[in-house]
Amino acid sequence: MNRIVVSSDFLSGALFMLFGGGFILIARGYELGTSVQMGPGYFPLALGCGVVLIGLALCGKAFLAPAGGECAAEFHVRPALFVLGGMIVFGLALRPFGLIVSAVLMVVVASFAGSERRWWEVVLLACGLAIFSALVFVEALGVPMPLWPRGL
Amino acid sequence: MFRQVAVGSAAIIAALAMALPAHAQEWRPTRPVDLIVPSGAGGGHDNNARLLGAVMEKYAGQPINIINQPAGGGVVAYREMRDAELDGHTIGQVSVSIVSDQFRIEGVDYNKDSYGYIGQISADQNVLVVAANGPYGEMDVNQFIEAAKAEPQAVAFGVSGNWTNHDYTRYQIEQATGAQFLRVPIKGGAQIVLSLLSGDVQAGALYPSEIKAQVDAGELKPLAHNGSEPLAAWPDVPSFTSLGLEVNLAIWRALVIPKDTPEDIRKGWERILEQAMNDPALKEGYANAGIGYAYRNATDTVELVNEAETAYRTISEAAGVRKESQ
Amino acid sequence: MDFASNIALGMSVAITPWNIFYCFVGVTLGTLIGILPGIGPLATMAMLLPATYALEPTSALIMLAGIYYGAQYGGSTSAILLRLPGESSAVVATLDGYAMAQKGKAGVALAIAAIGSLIAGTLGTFVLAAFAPALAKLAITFGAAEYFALMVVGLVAAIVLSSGPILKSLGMLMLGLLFGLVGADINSGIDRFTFGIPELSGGVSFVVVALGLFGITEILSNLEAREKRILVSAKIGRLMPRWSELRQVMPAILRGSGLGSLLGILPGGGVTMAAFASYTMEKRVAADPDRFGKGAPEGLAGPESANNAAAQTSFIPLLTLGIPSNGIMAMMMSAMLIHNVQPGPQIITGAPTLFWGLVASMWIGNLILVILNLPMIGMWVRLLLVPYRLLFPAILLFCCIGLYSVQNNTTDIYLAVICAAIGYVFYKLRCDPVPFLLAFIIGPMLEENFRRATLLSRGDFGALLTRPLTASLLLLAVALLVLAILPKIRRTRKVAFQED
Repeated sequence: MNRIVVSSDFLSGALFMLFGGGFILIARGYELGTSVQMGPGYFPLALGCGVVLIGLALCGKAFLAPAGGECAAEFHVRPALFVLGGMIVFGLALRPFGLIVSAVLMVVVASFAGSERRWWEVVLLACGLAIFSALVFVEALGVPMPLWPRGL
Repeated sequence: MFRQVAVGSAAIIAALAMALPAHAQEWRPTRPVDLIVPSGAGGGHDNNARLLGAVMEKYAGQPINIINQPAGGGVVAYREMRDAELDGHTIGQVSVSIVSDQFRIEGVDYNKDSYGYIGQISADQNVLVVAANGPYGEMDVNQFIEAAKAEPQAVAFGVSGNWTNHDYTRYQIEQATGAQFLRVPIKGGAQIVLSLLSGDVQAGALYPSEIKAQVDAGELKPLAHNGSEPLAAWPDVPSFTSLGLEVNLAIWRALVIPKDTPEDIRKGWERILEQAMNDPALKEGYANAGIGYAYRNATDTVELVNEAETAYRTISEAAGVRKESQ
Repeated sequence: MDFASNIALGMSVAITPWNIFYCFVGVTLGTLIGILPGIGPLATMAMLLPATYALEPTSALIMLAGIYYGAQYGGSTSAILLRLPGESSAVVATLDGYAMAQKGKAGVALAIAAIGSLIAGTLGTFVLAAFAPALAKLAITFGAAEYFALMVVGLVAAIVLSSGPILKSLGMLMLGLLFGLVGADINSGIDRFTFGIPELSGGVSFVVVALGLFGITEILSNLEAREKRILVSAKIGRLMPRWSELRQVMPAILRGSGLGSLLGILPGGGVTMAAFASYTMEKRVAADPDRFGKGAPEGLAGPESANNAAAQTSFIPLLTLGIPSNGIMAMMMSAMLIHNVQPGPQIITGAPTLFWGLVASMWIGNLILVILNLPMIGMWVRLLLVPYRLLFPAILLFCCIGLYSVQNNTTDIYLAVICAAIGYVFYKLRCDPVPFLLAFIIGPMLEENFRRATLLSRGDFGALLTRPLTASLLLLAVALLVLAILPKIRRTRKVAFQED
C-alpha cells in the first residue's frame, strides 16, 4: 500500500479534518453572536476551524516527511468487536433481564475477545462475577439496579 | 445496611398492621418502591426526596429507593416516571419543571396531563439579594429598583441558566418594574452566590437555603421575595406582591405516578403521603435543611399545577421564550 | 483562640473511639468505591446519609468526609495498576504511575502515592486549621476573568503533560474542548451536538470519556498484545521504595502539597487543576523532563500529593463561606443542615467542636488510610498476576456497572463504547489521549467563564488584562507555552537534520 496513506500523520490528519469538519457543519446552525454576547456557535466554530487546520498541517507533514513518516499500527478487529459488543449486550439486557443475566452474558461475549479460553473457566468466571457484583454493588453499596428479570 | 434493618422492622410492623381487617382494603406497596428524582445526589431536590422517602417508609411499610436520574436536565427522569409500570411501585418527585419545560426545552413531550398526582410536598421562594458591601448594599428594595431603572443594564443579574426559575423571576421583576438588568447565566445557585461575593454580579434571585449562611453573616442582603407567605428565616423581608408588583412564580415540588395507575393505588399513596407530611420528624427535617414546608392533597395539587401551567404559558409567550437566543 | 489549643480541642473530639470507628468505616468504604471504576463517592455518601441521621453530627461528617478522601485515594490505586481513572484527579496518575507499574514497580508506585498523600494530607489539614478564614477571602476574589485565566493555564498544562508530537497534541486538545461542549449551552439554552438525544443535553460525563478513552482502550491494546503472542509478563519487583527513592520524590511531594493546598480553596475547579498543575511544575523543574511519562516517580508523587491536599482544603469554601463548590460539598452541606448545623462564617465560633473535630479527623483519616493500605499493596499488586483472560472480563463488568450507576441510565454505557472505539483509533494513530481528556474537563469551564467575563466587561477584551491576577495568570500561561514548545521544536529540527 502507499506509504503516505498508511502514515500515522496522514491518517490522524484526515481524522482531525473529519471531526473538525463535522463539528463545523453542525455548528453552522448555531448563532455566532457578537463579541459582547457570544452566541453558542462562537466557540465550536473557532475550535472546529483550528482542528481542521491542524489536520491539514499533519497531512502536509506526511507528504513532506521522507516516506510519509511513521506508519500507523495494525488494527485488530476481534478484541474490539467482542469487548465493545459485550458492553452493548450488557446495556441492552440490564433493564429487562437484570444484573445477574446481563453480567453472565457480558462475560461470555467478552471472553471471545481473548485468543484462548476454556469453557469451564468462562462459565465459572461468569457466574462468580455475577454473584460477586450483585453482592458488592447492589446489596452492599446499594446501587439501584434490577437483579433479576422483570416480573420474576 | 443500618437502613435495611430499620426498614425491615418497619415492614414487620406494617405487615402486622395489614393483618387487621380495618386496613384490609387500603392499598400499600408489596415490595421495595423506586422514587425517581430528576437530579443528581446532593442539592435541594435530592435532599427533599431523601428526607421524605425516609419518613414515608414508615407508613408505606416498604423500603423506598431514591433513583437519581439527572440526565438531560431531568427530561429523562420525567419521561421515565410517566412511562413507568402501573403497579404503583415506581413514583416520581417532580418540580414546577413538568409544566414549564414544554415552553423552554425543544422536544419535550410531557405536561401537566401526563401524570397522576399524589400531592404537593414542598415550596420554595426566590429571594432578591444584593451584596451587602456592593454599590446597592445600603438600599431597600424600592431604592434598588429605582437605581436599576435609572441605569439600564448596569446591574448584572446572575441567573442559573436559560429560563430556570431564577431567570423567570428576573424576567418578572423586569416586567413589573420596568428595570433592565444585564442577564448573566451562571451554573447553579452556589456559583451565583460566589459571583455576588466577588463582585462579578450585583443581584440574584436565589432560594433561602442557598443564601442563608451569607445573609446571616451580613455579606448578602435580602430585599424581597416572590412567595405568598412570609419567609421562615427572615419574616421582615417584604414579598413583591405586598409591594404591588406581580413577581410570584415561586416553585413547588410534588409526588406523581403514571397517569393510568388504578385509582385505589393512587389513593393509597395519597394516604401514605398525608401521614408522612404530618409527621413531626419530617417537619423538623425540612426546617433543618431549609426546605419550605407546603402540603396539598391531590385535588388541590391538580389545581396548583393547572394554575402554574397557565402562568408559565402566559409569561413564556410574552417573553418569547422558545425563540430567545439573546 | 490560639492554634495549638484549637488543634487539641479537635483531637480530643476526633480521637474518641466511636469517632475513630466512623472515620475508619468512612475511609475504608471510600477506598473500596474509589478502586471500583465509575462508582463515585457522591452516590455512596447519598446512600449513607439517612444512616447518619441517628449519629452525632460530628461523627456523621467525619464518616462522610472519610468517604470522600478515601475515594480520592482508592481512585489512584486503579489508575496506577489498571489505567482506570475513576476521578478527574486520578487522570495524571495514569501517566507515570501506570508506566511505573508496567516496569514492575507497581508496589513502589502505590507506596509513593500513599506516603505522598499522607504528607499532603498533613499539610492540607494544617493549612485548613491555620488559615481557613483568611483563605476564604482569597477564594472570593476570583471572578470570571480570573477563572478564565486559570483555565488557560490548565490548557497549557495539558500540552506540557502530553508526550507526543506537538501538532497531534494540539489537535487532540482542541478536539477535547469540542467534545466538552456537547450538551445544553448555559447561556442560550440551545442543545449543541446532541443529535436530539435528551441524555446528551447534560453533556457527556467524565466517567464515560475517561473509562472509554483510557480503561477500555487499554484492555483492547492488552488483548491484542496477547493475540500476537507477545507475553507481557507481569513483573512484581520490590513493594517498598528505597530510602533514596523517597528522598528523590520528597521535594515533589512538598511542592505538590503546597500547590494543591492553594488551588483546592478555589471553588470553581481548583481541585481538578491541582494534579495537572503539579505535574506541569514537576516536569518544568526537572533536570531531565524526558523521563516524564515513562515512569518518573516525581510525576506520580507531585500530583498525588497535590490532589490530596486540594481535597482537604476544598472544604474551606463550604466550612467558612457556606458555599458548596461541587456535588460532594453539596452533600456535606446537606448532612450539616440535616443536623441543624449551618455551615458558614459563624461555624468556627458557633460550633467549634464540630469544626475542629472534623479538621483533626481528616488527619487521622489520612493516617488510617496509610496504615490500612501499605499492607494491602502486596495484595493489589498480586492482582496483576491474575491471568489476563480472567482479569479483563471483571474489569469490563465493573466498568459497565459503574457507567450505569452515574445517572442510572444505560445510555452512558453506549457512549463509553463510542469513546472506546474512538480511543482505539487514536491509540493506533499514536495520538495521545491525555490532552484530549484534560481539555474535555477544562473546556466547559473555560467557555463559560470566558463568555461571562466578556459579557461583564461589556465586550472589552482589554479590560480582562487590567485585572492584575488575570493578567499575571495569562502571562504565566504564555511563558509555560513557550517553554513547552521551544524544546519540542528544537528536538524535531534536530531529528530532521539527522535524517537528512
